[in-house]
Amino acid sequence: MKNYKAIFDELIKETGKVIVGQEQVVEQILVAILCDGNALLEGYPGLAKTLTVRTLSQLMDLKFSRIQNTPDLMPSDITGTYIIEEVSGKRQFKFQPGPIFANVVLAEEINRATPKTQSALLEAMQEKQVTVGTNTFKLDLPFFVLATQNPIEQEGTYPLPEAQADRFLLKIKVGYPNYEQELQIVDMYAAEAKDRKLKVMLNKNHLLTLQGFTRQVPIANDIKQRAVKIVLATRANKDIIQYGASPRASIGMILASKARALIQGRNHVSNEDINTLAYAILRHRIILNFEAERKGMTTDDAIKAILDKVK
Amino acid sequence: MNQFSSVVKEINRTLNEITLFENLVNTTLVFLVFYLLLSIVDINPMYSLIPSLLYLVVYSYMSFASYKPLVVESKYAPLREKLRTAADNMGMENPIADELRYEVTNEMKNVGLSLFINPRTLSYKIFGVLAVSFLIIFVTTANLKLLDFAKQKVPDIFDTKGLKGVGNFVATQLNTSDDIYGKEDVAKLGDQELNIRIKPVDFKVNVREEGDSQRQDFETLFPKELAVKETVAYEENIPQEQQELVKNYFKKLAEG
Repeated sequence: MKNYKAIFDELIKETGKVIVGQEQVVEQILVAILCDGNALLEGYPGLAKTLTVRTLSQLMDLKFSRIQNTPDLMPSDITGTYIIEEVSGKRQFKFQPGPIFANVVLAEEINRATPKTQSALLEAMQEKQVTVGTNTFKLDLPFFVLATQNPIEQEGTYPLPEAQADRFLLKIKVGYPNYEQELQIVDMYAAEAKDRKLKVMLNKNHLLTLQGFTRQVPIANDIKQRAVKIVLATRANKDIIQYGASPRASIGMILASKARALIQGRNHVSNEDINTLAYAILRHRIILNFEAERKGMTTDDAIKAILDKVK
Repeated sequence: MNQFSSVVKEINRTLNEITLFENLVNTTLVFLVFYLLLSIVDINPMYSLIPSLLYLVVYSYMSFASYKPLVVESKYAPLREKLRTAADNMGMENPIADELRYEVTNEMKNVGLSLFINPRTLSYKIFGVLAVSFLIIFVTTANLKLLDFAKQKVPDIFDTKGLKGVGNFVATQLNTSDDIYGKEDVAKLGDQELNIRIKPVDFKVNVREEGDSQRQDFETLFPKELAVKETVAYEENIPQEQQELVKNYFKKLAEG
């Protein structure tokens, strides 16, 4: 386990060459990758969301593609389409793969795409395959979708329906850097442009092996029961929560905790893993009721209240 | 895995033994305290068995039912969450679980028995047992009764003023004079007046003076009042010559 910790420590350190701060965000993206899940990144523009994902894919030697979602983006722009190709004077259809055919897909501002396009993307996320016409194409593994959302400029957007948001394992909040970090960012990017060479730390096979190990991390029965109780509490707490999390959240909570334990170099899941990841697991899966919103509560406040209650 | 399962068994066995010992000490203390209290209030002190047995059963059940890895974790922080995870996943076969079990087994070597026994508390309890035992001896020897509930309930029985007795025996009202007739209605059985004479009681019986028992022959006397008297059958004296007439008369009656 010490070796795994060293790998992830080195990976996070290497990310630090490009990204200042945001260790929590990097760790949670790694959790999503180890769980073979997808993550939703929410933060204001200019917080290095795209850079973080791109850097991580470079460090893990993964094929990276980026989709800038707009209202006029069509599903075929993502999945790919058949084009007519002339081979030795004969015309034939040839499948031209879209940007979805990569290992890490960054779907920028997913809430700007139409529901039809969102569905195409989410189907690929879920099934790890794409169907175009009558043909189905398997996606290359490992495959992750990291979608970003801006909490501002909501006009003309198509917010993700709860059912589709539920398919993302984590909703990671990207916050602003503090004063020292911002000063460091300024020094790093406002000075003379330097070629920051990143060392490749992992490859696809390593990653697939680590995904296998993630599921092998043992968890104590009482910690497992607590995780499930937390998810159940989101459904029972009707005084602040209108709709609670699905059983997918319970699975996600256990799996994500195992991944975090692996990253932290532990051979067992801790209650601390549950407490840390509960926010990212649950915040996009619960809907507050009017009363809670009237009081100015956020989903994170509701999750905190539940975590305090379920000991 | 076999090594780890034996570690878990040993943890359970050792903690059960410690728990049993502690519970026995506590139960003894409870028994003695109740014994002392009941002796003071003059209630049968053996009733103290009830609360002490109740204590033993309830606390033993609670202690034996408790999850032992949690008890060890609470006393030894480095094993926190590790031991229970390893114990819960004993059947899991993979490198990570194996590593965890190996780590826990090694760490268990640092867990001493002294962690589970608090010498100070135990000393206090044993001292308490001794102190209460001495108090009981003192109270019973001095026949000290602070509250006498039994006397308040039935004062007549314990009113021994003017009564004679030997040793611990409390004599009831005795009439040592020869005349014991007393009230007439007491001595009456039905309408017949009994002529009874009872020898005055002497509690001092000297076996040597009494001598051997004498053989007595008992005669079987059948009471006269119960003698069987011959019964007489009823017979009607009808003259011989009229018997045929009477017979025919009843015969005609029967024919109707």
